[in-house]
Formats: sequence, C-alpha cells, structure tokens
Amino acid sequence: MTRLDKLWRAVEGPGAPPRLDSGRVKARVNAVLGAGPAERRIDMRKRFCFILAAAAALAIMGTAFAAAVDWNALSAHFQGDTSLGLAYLDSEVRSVRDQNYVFAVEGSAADESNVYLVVSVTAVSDEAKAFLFSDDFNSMDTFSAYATASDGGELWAMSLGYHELQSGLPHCRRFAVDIGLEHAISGGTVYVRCGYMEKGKRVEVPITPASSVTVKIAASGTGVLKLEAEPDPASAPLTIQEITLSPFTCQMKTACTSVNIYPNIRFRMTDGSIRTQSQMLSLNSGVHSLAWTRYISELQYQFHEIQDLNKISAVIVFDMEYPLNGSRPVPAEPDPALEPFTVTRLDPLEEGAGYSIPVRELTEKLGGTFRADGEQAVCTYRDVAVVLQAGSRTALVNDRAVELKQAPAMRDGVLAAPYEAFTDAWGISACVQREDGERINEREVQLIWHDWYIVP
Amino acid sequence: MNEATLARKLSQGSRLALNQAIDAYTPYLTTVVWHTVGPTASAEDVEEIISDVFLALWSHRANLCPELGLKSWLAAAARNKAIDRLRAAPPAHLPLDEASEAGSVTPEEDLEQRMFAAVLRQAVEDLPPPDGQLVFRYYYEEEKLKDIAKDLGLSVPAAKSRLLRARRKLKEVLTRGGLANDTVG
Repeated sequence: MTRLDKLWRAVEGPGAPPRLDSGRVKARVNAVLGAGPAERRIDMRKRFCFILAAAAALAIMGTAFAAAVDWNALSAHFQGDTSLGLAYLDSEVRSVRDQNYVFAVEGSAADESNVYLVVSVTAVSDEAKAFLFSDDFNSMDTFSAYATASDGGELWAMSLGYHELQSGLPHCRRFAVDIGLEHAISGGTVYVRCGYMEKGKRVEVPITPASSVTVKIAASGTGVLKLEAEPDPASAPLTIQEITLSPFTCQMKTACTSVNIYPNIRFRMTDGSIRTQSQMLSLNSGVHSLAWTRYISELQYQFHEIQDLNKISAVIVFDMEYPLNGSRPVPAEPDPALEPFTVTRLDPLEEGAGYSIPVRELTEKLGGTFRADGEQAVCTYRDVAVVLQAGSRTALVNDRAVELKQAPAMRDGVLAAPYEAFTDAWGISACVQREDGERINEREVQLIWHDWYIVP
Repeated sequence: MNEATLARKLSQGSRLALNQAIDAYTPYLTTVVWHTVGPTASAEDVEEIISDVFLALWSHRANLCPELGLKSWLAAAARNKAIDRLRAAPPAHLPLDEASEAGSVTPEEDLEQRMFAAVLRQAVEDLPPPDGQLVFRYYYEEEKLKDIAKDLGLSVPAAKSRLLRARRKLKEVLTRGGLANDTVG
C-alpha cells in the first residue's frame, strides 16, 4: 500500500486512487525500444507531424513571412510589423560548440509567460550534416530548455515548441523556438540546449520580460464553444477572473463547469475601434485543473501581431468594458454582428481533407458582401477582399496571391472552399463541431459532426 | 536501488534499470500527469504520456546527472509532455466511454475516483503553508519525513502532528463538499 493509498483511506475516498498498471507502461516502452530504429522513427514522425505541417504551411504561404531569410526572434513568431517589439529584442548571438555542431541562439524576446527564440544548428562535419538534414533530427528531444526554480533549487525542464525557418545555408538549419515559463524562474536566465550535443553544452539566455498589465475582471457571462457541440454556453456560465496583457501574449484565468467553453473578449482600441479576440489572438496553451465542480483554467493566447499596449484602451468582457488604466468599468454596447453563428458543413474538397465551407453563406452571415461572376467569387468583409476561383488553388487576398490547401469547387451549385481561405484573411475562428454518438465498441464512439461554428 | 544508483545504471544503458524506474515511478507520474491534463483524460492517454516520458528518459540517459536523482527530471518531463498533449488536443469529453481494464470498476466508478483524486489534490494544494507542501511531499512524492521536516524547519514530531491535523482537515473539507464517502465530519 502506497502512502497515497493511506491518505485516500484516511479521507475515505471512493475505491482506490486511480493508477496505471506499470506493466502496461513497460510493455509500451519496450515495444518501442525493441522495435528497431526504423519503426521508432515512424513513431517519432507521427508525433511530430504537427511540426512538419507547420513548416509546410510556412513554406506554402508565399507571404513575406516565409520569404524572409533574415529572421529575428520577433519576425519568426509574429505576423505584420514587428518593429514595435524591438525594445524587447535581444539580438546578441550566443553559441556553444562540440565536435559535431554549433548551436546558436541568435536572438530572444520574452514576457512573463513565454520566451521566443531563433536558434540555429550548424554541422561541422559531413557526418553531422547528414544527420542534421535527416528526418531523424526532428524529435521530442531535439531542443530542451531549463531554468532554475524560483526557490533557487533544481533545474526545471520547461515546455518547448519549435518550427523550422528558412536557413538559406547549406550546413545550417534554423528554428523558431518558444518556451513556456510555466514555473516561476529565478535568476532571469533560461538554459537552452540541442539534444544531439555533448552533455553540458548549453546556451544561457538572459531574460528581461516585457512589462504586462493585469486587469481584474471577476465577472461571469456566456462564453463560446471550441470544437465540442455541447453544452449550450448559456447553460454553463464562464467566469473570467483576470486578464493579463503583454505586447506578445494575453493570459486569462477562468472558471467554468465545462472545459469546452472559452472566453470571447474584445479589445477597445484608443482610436475607438473594436477588435475581436479572433482578430487579435490565437490560443497557445491551456492548463485546466478541477476544483470541486469547476475547471479552473489558465489560458494563454498569443497576439497575431505584436501590440502597443498604449493603443488598447480597454478589454470588453461580456457586457462591460474594463479600462487598462484601472478605472471603473463601464457598460459596453452589445454587438449582435459579433455573436457566434453556424454555417452549413459541406463535404471535403479532396479525399483526406477537412470539411469545406459554403462561401456565400459564410460571407453573408458575417455581414460582408458576396459577388459571383461565373465560377469566380469576390467576398469582402472587414475591408478585406478574398477572390476565389473554382478549380484554382490560388486565392487573392486584397490582390495578394495566397495558396490554398485545396482548390474551391462547386457543390450542388454552391461554391465551397477550405475554411483557411477566410480565417487568416478576415480574422475569424471556424471549426466543425462534434459530439459523441453511439458506442461502436469498447474503445470507440461514433462521432457526430455538426455544422461550422463561426466566431467573428 | 536508490535514485542515484538507478540513474547511474540508466546512464550506463541498463534496460533493467529502465524497467525498475518504470515500476518505481509510474504511480507518482500518474498523479502528476492526471493533475496536469485533468481527470477527464482517459487512462490510455495518461499511459501514453507516461510511456513517452520513459522513452525520453531513455533517450536522455547519457545526459542524466545521477547526483540529482530521477524524480524531479521525470516530473518535469511528465508535466511538459502533458502540457504538449493539452496543446495538441485538449481533453474534450468525459470518458464515460472508457472501459476499465480491470473489469472490476465500472466506468462511472473510475471517473468518480479520478474526479475525487483531482479534488483531493486541489484540497492538498489549498492547505495553508507549510501543510500543503508537507502533505504533498509525504503522500504524493513519498519523501522521507525527516527530510521534509528539515526543509520546512520543523521537528519530526511536529511534522507528524501537522500531518495528522492535515488529514483531518482534508477529510472535513472533502466531506463538506459532499465528495467523501463519509457524511460525518
């Protein structure tokens, strides 16, 4: 009996503490380790398909973002004009070397929740180069980051994500790396290493976080759904405790009886305009913990573009505007045009692709304009014109060519397109909602797919 | 085999040591991962995350510092991999569809136990200092009481007394929430 069993018994918990059979874990681990290098590589490839997908997405975007080779820690992570963040950019190159590689942190920027880096790995031998450019280089352990815990004690390993950038050099690969500062760190230093180098070879990156503003909210209202079709958001009020903004991120502390309900805030800019959460933010991470019957969540969103906080006057949460300067909140004008709505789900445009979206229905429900000329459509919303042509994977967004994953096509007289054609261009969120249906067998449940759920 | 010895054997490439580490740390990592991903995550997901942690341990074996032991490394890796999983696919539904492997626990009972575990863990965290840390390190991390007491500036008898009071407090808190089996405080 473990001590946890004893505690469980002392507090008279139901049955026994949930635990896993270590034999099953051993079987999984030994199956991978005993499977031979080729099979293990496949396993790793599966896990990192999202990284490769992100790299592929960058490669086909055809935007200035992908065309630039001269990355810095801001342009590698944020869209648009990144000059606003130059005050927070540390451009000093720091590197370590062993007999195979030079690992360099070429620049960094940080706030209190995230560190953004551009790193490069340069091979110093032909053998090292062959591995550097092989599929095996991308794994869970390619890069890691550590920091000294706030109590001054042990080194904490921190969560880390990365995607590849264009290098333009024959012996070098470059990556955009973001590190989550889940644990308070001391000493203002993060240690970053490449897992294929000698032990002890690590780069010390000093951290000077960009300042942030926290707005206490402590209000409840109706949130929006994410992926799951249930529950009805009105039936599970969402409480937003506080919102912290930095030039790079927006963090929200929330509480709700459902983990499927998310905040949908808006921003009042100093010029009086309103920008929505979908226009400004993308969800980066969420940590949920259960306290009694409610999930306490810490949600971290990243701004699409670096923000000048002096140009945001307030956050609009539910029906109130909360000024960033700490003054009293005032009632906000409701805007029905910004409420979520649904759009008909259409079949995929290609085998293996996701569901497609009806172009006209989406545009008109958003309140935009739709004009069709044969198999070409011009859709305009938020002053951004998207021109689509049935059969062509190239779309025009305000006259700029953008490659789509699939070509739009006519479906029963309706022009259907991949949803990505609109989400970036118009700053909207879109997902096809699902719910569990009948059980197929012990492990599988039938999934019922609903219509598109759009958050303007 | 103590932590340092296990880490040293692992760094020498011992698969036996890896299997011993899996036996020794799976219960602890289960609480770490479930706490991070939330009680609605399925047992299979948690099992997969923990397997990944041990695979990462094996990959890192040459870089382990035996003097630092394994537990803190494993806990950090488990938290990170659990957070990565949440980023990739947040737990989206209550897994009443998840059949118990043992067969002796119904899916409802299984879920009830996981929910209770989450609430218990939260209640431990909510204990006033230093009791929260004391209870967590003693019951969840299975550290020696004399080591915890020393770190917290307590005598061993005082630490024992605080543990007793903390257990009572936890039972009281959980019962008030209607979650413990007992209806009497």
